[in-house]
Amino acid sequence: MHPDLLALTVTLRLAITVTLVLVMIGTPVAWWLSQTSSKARIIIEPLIALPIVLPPTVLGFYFLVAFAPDQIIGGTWLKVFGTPLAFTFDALVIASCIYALPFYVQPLQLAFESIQKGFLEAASTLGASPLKRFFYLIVPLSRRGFITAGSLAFAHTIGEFGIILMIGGSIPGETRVLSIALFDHVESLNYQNAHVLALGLVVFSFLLLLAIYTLNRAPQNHPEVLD
Amino acid sequence: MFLEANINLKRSSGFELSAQIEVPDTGVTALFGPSGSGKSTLLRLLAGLEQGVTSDAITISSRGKTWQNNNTFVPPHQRSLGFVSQQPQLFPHTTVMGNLKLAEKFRPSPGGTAIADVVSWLELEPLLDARTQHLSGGEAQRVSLARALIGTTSCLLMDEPLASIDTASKTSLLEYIHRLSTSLSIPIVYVSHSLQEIQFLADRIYLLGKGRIVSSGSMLDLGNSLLLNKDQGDNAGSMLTCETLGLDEEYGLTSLAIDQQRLYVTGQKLISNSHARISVPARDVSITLQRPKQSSILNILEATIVDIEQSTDSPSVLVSLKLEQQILLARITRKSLAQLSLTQGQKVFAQIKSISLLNENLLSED
Repeated sequence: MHPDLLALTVTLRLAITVTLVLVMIGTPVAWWLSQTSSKARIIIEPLIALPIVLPPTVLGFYFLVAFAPDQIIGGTWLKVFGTPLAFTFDALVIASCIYALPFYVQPLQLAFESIQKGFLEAASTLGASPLKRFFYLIVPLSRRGFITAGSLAFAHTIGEFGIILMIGGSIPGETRVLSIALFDHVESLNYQNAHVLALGLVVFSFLLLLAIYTLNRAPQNHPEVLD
Repeated sequence: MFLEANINLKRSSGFELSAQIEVPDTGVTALFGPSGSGKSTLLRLLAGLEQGVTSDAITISSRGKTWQNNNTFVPPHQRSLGFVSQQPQLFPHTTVMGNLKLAEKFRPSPGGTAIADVVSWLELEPLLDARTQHLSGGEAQRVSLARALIGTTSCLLMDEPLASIDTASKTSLLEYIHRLSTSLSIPIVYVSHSLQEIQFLADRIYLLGKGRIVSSGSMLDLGNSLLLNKDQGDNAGSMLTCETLGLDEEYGLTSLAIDQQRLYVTGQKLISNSHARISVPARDVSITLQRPKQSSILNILEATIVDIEQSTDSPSVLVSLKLEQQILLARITRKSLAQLSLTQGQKVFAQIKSISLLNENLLSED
């Protein structure tokens, strides 16, 4: 396989995995944040938002340190799975999830917060368990929130560079993603290949955003979730 | 007894609620009182939508099963109650039918009311495909009632269901609720601050004020009492049950009998020998000491004064008049009270200027 195509598959695999993991982890976090009156929220909200303001290299540096086999996270990983964590695809997934978490959680939390409490109360008096309320009411009522959150997480993982540069190395088929491949081409003055990749990323990102905006503009019949 | 509750609750805002109530297996139990009296909070506690805090003493049980005490809390979705709130709260992402289907999906075990039944009882057929946003307030509330009925066969809790809809829809929805309460024989707990709604629907009343139960009793004992009416201003009035005797074709009047005395209402085709409820505003009842012989007023009832509510800061007083069984209220001026020197126990005549007939369902088909 052409090394750039290989980088593309790694990138897509990473973005899809991260988005799926965030749907499973980020959704409950967003729900908890939207409903809780716990004081812990004061600490947890800014903690989740940190990746938005921090330079990715700072995060990458800490991940690099934490994933080393002589540290708690890297050491535990080595004990449990028998392989080192640093410079692997799994390391990219973990780091990317934390990096993309605020981009997933924030729009979803906003969507959850805008659901009228009365709908949920009505559903519970009708006999709906919390799980039924979630799947039959909360999910359809926050459809836009899910689309925005999922696509932001996906897109941010595709466009990530700083963290991966720090912790991924550039192992083809494992950690060499598109943005790194582009960087390598530029460094070796291979501008033609760099152009192909750069333009490809621009077109892809544009198409993704176009799809999101179109989906979000599709007629909706629950004005309550618009702000 | 369907439900027994003993509630002592204190909020950090300073609001306190202390109430003990019982809901029998049938009929409409009304929680009546001004806003801020705690009636909605009480209803929400019964539904499990509010829980109180650990320092509150709340016990709620239904047919011997504990719903809430110090160690137990059964969440609302396990109480299989129907709840209708002031806002219809129809799920906005689907149609009327979608709402009914969701209610069917949500109810924990099969055995609630079938969709087809509620659709026919509440005449929802023409609305089924409508998006919920396109319904009028009255229609939306009707769907909300239908949805609640699909979820329950045990009890219906209603929190000011008519408070935010227009007057015309109010009357028709009131009729629907009345019809359901008599035909379904499930208990209804009905919260309202509207005396007319309570007088029309209720079988039993809990009167609440400032987080306490001020009085409670049957509709017959309490419904037309001065206690219930004294702060009602122009809304003060009485609701009476009459027998329907038949139509007087010549004058287009229907005659009714109330505690053996005759009354006439205009142009209604009623089923004879049945019962009807009438409402008489207190301001349309005047008092004379002798039966007026030359008066255009048709409806004159003999009655005994049983109570007089006087407050010196108002120019008018409410007089409670006993017919044979039922109570009729009259609002007269303090000056008239003094001039006629009316006292308790006195026999008088009540002249009634206006009567409205309430049970539309008693109208005959022809």
